[in-house]
Amino acid sequence: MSYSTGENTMEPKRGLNYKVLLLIAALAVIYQTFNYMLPETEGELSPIDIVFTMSIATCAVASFIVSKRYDHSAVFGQAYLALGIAFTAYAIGDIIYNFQTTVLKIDPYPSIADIFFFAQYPFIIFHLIRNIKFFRRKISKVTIIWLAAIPVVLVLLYSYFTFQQEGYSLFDYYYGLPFVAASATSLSFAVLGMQVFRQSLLANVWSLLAVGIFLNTLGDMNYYYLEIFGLYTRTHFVNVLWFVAPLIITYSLYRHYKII
Amino acid sequence: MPSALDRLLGQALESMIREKLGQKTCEKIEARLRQRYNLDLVESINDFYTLDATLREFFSTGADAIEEDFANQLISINTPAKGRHWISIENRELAELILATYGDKDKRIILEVAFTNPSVILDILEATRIPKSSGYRLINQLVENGLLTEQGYAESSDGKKVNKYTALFEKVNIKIDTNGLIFTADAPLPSLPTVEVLLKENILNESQIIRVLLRAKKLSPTNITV
Repeated sequence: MSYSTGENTMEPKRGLNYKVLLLIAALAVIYQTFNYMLPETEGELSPIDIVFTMSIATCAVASFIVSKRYDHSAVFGQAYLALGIAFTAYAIGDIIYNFQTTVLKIDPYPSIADIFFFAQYPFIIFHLIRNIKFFRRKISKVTIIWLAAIPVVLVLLYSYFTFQQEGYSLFDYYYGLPFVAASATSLSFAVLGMQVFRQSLLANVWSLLAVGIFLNTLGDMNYYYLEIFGLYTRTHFVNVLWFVAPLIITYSLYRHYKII
Repeated sequence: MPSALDRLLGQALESMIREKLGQKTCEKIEARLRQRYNLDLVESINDFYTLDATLREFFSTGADAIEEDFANQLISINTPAKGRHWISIENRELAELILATYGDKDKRIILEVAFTNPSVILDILEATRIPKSSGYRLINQLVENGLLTEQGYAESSDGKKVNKYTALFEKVNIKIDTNGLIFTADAPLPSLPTVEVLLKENILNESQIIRVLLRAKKLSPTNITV
């Protein structure tokens, strides 16, 4: 059989649009600038809070759109549905958090919202594992070691920096521990996913997803560390990490939608 | 022309690929197949190396896992201590096709005659005493399904080369386990009978699908005596 060659063999586009990445970076700068500028009035909802929730909700909606696109496929449909549920839980948690702050006027830490914040991790991890298991049957011992090492090291770092300082709250340390461990585990699987899809058309999609999850984990670790010492404020830098992470993941979802 | 075994397996593979990867992903893969090889999905299944190359382009080493899945859901090769390897048909669609074919008296006779004595269509029909009109239709169906395969040529009275045909399978083993089957409204239906086949020798090597799928399972057709 003869095949048509020449111009037709041009590879499909797999690259990233750097203008979109610059736009996300610019949004992060604008967000943090307003975050510093707008006064943090206790018990009042700031436009910053609304924008923050919107970034999470956008990611949830994008995940559901992608999931719908692959409705009947054995892997992508379920995996992206799980990601959508993860970000929906995150958005609900954030809305409850704001409701408790602005309407109920209570300190939302710890709070019922934490159940929803925590719920995102198993769903994100399910999303990652579903994809990885479909495309990689056997995982080497070395991979299993570093897969376990990432969360262990991050939890040890969280513990080390906590106990290195005086005035820590043991309750807050233990309270933040499952969040840090779950977030770090999601990062670990995101890195494995990036490795699995390396050299495929989805390489950039997974790089973006891993970067988004990395920023989320960095934000989580920082936040739970700050809470141990009661140092968290709305203007803190962790918020910009949490704001940017869903935007980057949304862009990765868009690229996935476009590529396959 | 794809090998008979590829024609047989290809029928089940298309629905498996669509189900596994989803319609949208299949459309993207098909668009790429057209762009690169001018083939659609069905044609590329019959020329499996093109599909394999495209899956690799999309999913890199992830294609191994997808193909391994296809292999597991299509066939399993039994490995006896000695003797030849029987192939279990794992795919329901294929198993039903084989059962229906060997359940049809005329088709079974055609396959038996062709296996015992590979011949041109006319000779098969004469040997089976099946009327020519329905006989040609049945033979065409068997060739399309891959259960009847070309084996060498004969020369016709006007000197033209005419294909000789033989059956794809040397033996077909159908096991029906009726142990404990009680048919009530609530009881599940009995599972499909186990269908095992013994391929005609060297057929495995001709199949692109088997070569690629066995590679995904880290096996080689040359290591398998059939």
